Amino acid sequence: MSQPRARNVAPAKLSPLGEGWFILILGALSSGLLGAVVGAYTADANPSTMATLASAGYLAGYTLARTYAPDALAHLITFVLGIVIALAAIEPRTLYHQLRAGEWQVIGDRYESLLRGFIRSIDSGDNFETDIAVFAIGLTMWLVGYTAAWMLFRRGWVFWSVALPGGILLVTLALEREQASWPALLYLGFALAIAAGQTAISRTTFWSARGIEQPRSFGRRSIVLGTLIAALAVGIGLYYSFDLDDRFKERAMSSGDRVASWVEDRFESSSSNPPAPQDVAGNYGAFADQFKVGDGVPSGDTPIVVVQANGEEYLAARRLNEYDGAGWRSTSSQAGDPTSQAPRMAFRSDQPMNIPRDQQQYRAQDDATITLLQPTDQLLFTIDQHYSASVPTLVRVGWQPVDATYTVGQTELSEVPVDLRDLVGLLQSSDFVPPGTSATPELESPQASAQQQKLQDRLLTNYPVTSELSWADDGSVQVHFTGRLPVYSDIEAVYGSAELDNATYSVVGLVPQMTAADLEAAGGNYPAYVTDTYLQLPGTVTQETRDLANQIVQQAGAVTPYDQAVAIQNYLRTNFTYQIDAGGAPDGRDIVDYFLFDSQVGRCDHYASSMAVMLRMLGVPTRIVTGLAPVSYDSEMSGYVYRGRNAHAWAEVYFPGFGWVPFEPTPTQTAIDLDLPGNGLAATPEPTPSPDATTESDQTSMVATPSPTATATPMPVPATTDIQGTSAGSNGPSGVFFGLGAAAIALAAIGGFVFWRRRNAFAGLPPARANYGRLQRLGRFLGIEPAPELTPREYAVRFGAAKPKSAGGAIRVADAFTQEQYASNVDAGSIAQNSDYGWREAKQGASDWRLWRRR
Amino acid sequence: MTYRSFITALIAAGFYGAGEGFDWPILRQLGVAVMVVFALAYLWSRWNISGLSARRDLDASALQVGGVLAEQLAVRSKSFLPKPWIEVRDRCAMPAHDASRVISIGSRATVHWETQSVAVKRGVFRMGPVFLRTSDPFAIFTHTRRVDFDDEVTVFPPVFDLKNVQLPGAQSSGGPHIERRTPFTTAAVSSIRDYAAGDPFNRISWTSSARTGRLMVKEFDLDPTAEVWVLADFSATQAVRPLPETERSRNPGLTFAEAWLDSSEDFVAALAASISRKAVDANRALGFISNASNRDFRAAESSERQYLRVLSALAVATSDGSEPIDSLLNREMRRFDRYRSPVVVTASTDIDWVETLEHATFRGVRPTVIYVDPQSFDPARNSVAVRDRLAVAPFEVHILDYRIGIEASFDELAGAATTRSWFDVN
Repeated sequence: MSQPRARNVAPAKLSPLGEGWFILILGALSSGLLGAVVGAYTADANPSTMATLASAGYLAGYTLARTYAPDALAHLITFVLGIVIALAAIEPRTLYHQLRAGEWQVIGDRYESLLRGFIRSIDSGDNFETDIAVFAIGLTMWLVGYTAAWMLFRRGWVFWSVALPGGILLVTLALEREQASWPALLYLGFALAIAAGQTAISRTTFWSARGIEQPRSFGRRSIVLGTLIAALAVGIGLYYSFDLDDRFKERAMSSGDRVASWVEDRFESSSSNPPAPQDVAGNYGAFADQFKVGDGVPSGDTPIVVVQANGEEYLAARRLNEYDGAGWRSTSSQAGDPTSQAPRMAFRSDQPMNIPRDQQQYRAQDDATITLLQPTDQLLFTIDQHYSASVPTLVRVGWQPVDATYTVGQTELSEVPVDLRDLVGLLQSSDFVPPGTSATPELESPQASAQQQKLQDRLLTNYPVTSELSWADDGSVQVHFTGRLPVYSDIEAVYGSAELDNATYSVVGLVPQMTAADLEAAGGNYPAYVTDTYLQLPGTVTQETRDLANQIVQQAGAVTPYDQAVAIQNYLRTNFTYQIDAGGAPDGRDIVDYFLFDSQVGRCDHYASSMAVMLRMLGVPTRIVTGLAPVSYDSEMSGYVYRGRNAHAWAEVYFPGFGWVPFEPTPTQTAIDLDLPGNGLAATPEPTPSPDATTESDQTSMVATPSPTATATPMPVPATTDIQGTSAGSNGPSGVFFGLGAAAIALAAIGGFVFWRRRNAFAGLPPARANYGRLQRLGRFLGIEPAPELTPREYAVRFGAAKPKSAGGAIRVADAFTQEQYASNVDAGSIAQNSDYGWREAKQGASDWRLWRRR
Repeated sequence: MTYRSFITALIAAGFYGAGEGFDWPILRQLGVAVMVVFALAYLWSRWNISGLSARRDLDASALQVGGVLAEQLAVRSKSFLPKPWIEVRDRCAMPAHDASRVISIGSRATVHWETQSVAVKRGVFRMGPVFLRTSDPFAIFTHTRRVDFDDEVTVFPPVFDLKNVQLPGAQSSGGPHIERRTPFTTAAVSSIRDYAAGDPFNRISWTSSARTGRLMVKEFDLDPTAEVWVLADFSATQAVRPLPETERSRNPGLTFAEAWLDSSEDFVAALAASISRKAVDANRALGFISNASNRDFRAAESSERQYLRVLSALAVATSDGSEPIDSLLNREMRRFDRYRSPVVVTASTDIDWVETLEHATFRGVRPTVIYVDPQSFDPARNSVAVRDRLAVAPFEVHILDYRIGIEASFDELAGAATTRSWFDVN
């Protein structure tokens, strides 16, 4: 039978029993997880020690939060206790022995010196020494655990209780981005289970306070259900790995592409008109991944970069491979495997590209120091065949499919692509379980087997490349690879992985050192991925263009690809008029056809496009490069100053064994003569004057001084070549700072939203109603819960009982609210004034909660 | 979208967006996990609230203050999924009655429970609505379904045995039948006759007309006993509630029902109901007049049905009338004579109404006064003048002292001190 209930119900409090133990255990575990991760990712810190400290801090926080200890006293106790425990945790065994031996003086001296060093390091900003760092991290873990427990068990702030350690965990993981994601997801699972437990307790308390009967098992059921949902979410999160993500996306995109292609094919088959050029936009001066020939005019006197180099350099920004009749675009990100978009490759500072040895021997290193004066959207300018940069980079490269089998023990490691060498090397250096024991080869050593699995997973995740081991007929082990691999010599663009605005960086390029005779002998045995990518032509290209290309090479007697390229380059340089503002083709016309046969007036993108299209028609792989054309030395700026008007486009032709070689079909630029010393895009080198040499006479003398010709040097194979986002240390600090900045912005946005929402929560309400709402909100914050059965005045009295200094103000607010709501013929202005006055009084009276509030 | 769900969605989108932006799989995975939680929480809470219905069965539709109301509430789930918890919040208007409960329901099952409560306040109360509320384990989503009910419960004021109160009789009392025709409708039908032009239609006796085939009308005699007219004062000026200290000093031996009376308004209603009961029990014609904001007038009638009508009026009467009792008496006094005696129940401190009644006695009206002493509720309400005047008034007076309660105030012995009889004065 329901009995009449008391009118005043005590505010809900957290129950320390029942489901509270579940939360306590989970909280301690989650703090321990944070400590273990921080310990594992920090040099010299022991994961188990850090986990213990964080969990102990959590338990200490719980214990103090459940007592009536004032906030400030509890914090002080915890801090002092944390210092002691963190000091003891540095070398616990040593301390134990010293304690047993009664060496108090030694202990005191040691810890005094540690503390002094700690304070000194903080003052000076120097790096911590090992022991001090361990102490600082241990103390931090202790305090984080304590704070999390305090916020949950004293304040009831479940979100912030899990968000604080979670944020630290994420920042820690961001420092080592290659590491596994399971700690973060496991922590999320803990946090969700804690949230479920806390929600169950809050509900139980709420119902109990109102005398509502409830199932005894409610708390357990709710927690079990919440934990199951959390486990399912974490499982799905773990399953949702990086490559799966891309595969899903790529499948979706390829499905869409197939549908679009099908529609397009149907449309084309039903139309007798030749295909129209596709819609590319922008001019080559934007250095984007597409441009339209004849679109706009790159201009501007504003300096873009200042370069310190050995001579006038072509600065390459981007290579483009696909011609659509109107312009060019890059599709290298889709190369290799149509089911998955290719990622960019991350390189550390000064880490060299993996250029094939046969190409390296015909090239020499050349370097330049580039100072950016205009933002370039992280795009780096490079010299010829890019080799390395002084800043961490993300390089978009071409990809080729791989479908190869290597016999372990019979394959030279140098024959194996560099990206597969780790796995093949491991297999060659390990022992296998004898054939017959298992269907597939297995490594004897569990450690080696684990390492093998890790490498296979890495290949699958990053590239993707699948690898399978099998027994050969002769009992040897074979490993079969399928998938795609990057071609490091085929570079579309190089990006800085950190912020580049106004940055100065150095790049090293490999400039061609081969002769014309070398290239004439190169032949036409192109790799499949080159012909697949760089012989593409759209249906807009006309037969007249094809005929002209054949006519040019026949008249020149050019048989080899090199001779054909030179013939077409020379034809273009001599038979057309250069005009910077030459436009594009009329609608539907192929721009190369229009340029060659109608307008015969063009600029660099017209010339380069025509050369590329005609060479492709002849079966010679060619691509377009956009960047900056060489400029003269500027003594005032102490370097080569490249401006917007120096934007340029030229062509590169592929020669087997030599790689990509530049050609200059635009007549306003000096032709590239490979037989001259210092050939290639590093046109006649000039020494860069020293910063002090700024006089005219000095410059003149220096120009006359030839620089020593660089010689080709053997290139070391990169120790590690990693996919962006997975390399140990790659993109590390900058990525972390970027991430931290973004997280700070996100937090600020959330905080701003919450602040705005709180500030405007009562907008539009009558003034006394709004102030009463504010009073209730303040009461909730202070643990004085408003209850439905309380009248405004009763609540104000309760508020005043908890906060005596606010008693008068609270009652004034409540009375004003009651008058405003229920009284008639009252002066609204005086009610509002009275209410505002009361609210200020109540707020000020309650503001002493921070120091000595007891619960 | 609730605040929690918005924040959760923001976190999921933030994680995933940051993961895409920074190309960091961990953030993407966290984003996906939070999205999964978001989706599952929504689906779970939706499933939990779907397929539910509720029914409530009352054991009575009317009772008196102090009575026990029992009801059975049933929640049925038509869903094949079990529901771990449903919060059933009963928002019925009846004070102290709350069938709220948290239940868990199995697949296609029904959960019943009975709730009993004491009726502590008179009035007409709607039983319902009931809100079925549930959410996911993280309280990201909360769904509520409202179930309305048409049932109403009427709680009448409590009725006490006013032992020492004697109903006023007519001056002609004692004769078996005075055979004196009256143009008014009375409780005593003397005969029937043929309809004559000008007879009011409400005098037609339809049963006799049917039997005789002619229109017949009823003729009335004056009742041999006087009609009892209860005048309950529900004017706003007389309303008074006890002070806390008065409450604490109250007689602890009160009857269960009286314990719930805590204002002069409740006492006026309870005493009016008690007088009405007494009149009906004595087969006296009962009339009722109140000066609440919705003025109530019930012509005298001698039946149980009339008693229920009066109780119904008293159940909802509140002290919100603007007309003082003196004004009511002046207006209605012409209605009373030696055959119609008013019983005035009031807590008014205005002395004019006493004078009005005194004047009425000069023309043979024999009023009775039950005075709910407001000073016994709140010492600040000075009723000394009224009580002094009542002490010498030429009619029967009973005074209720809130502190000692009804039973003691009206007890033959204990009440003697505060009761004066008409006959005593004479």
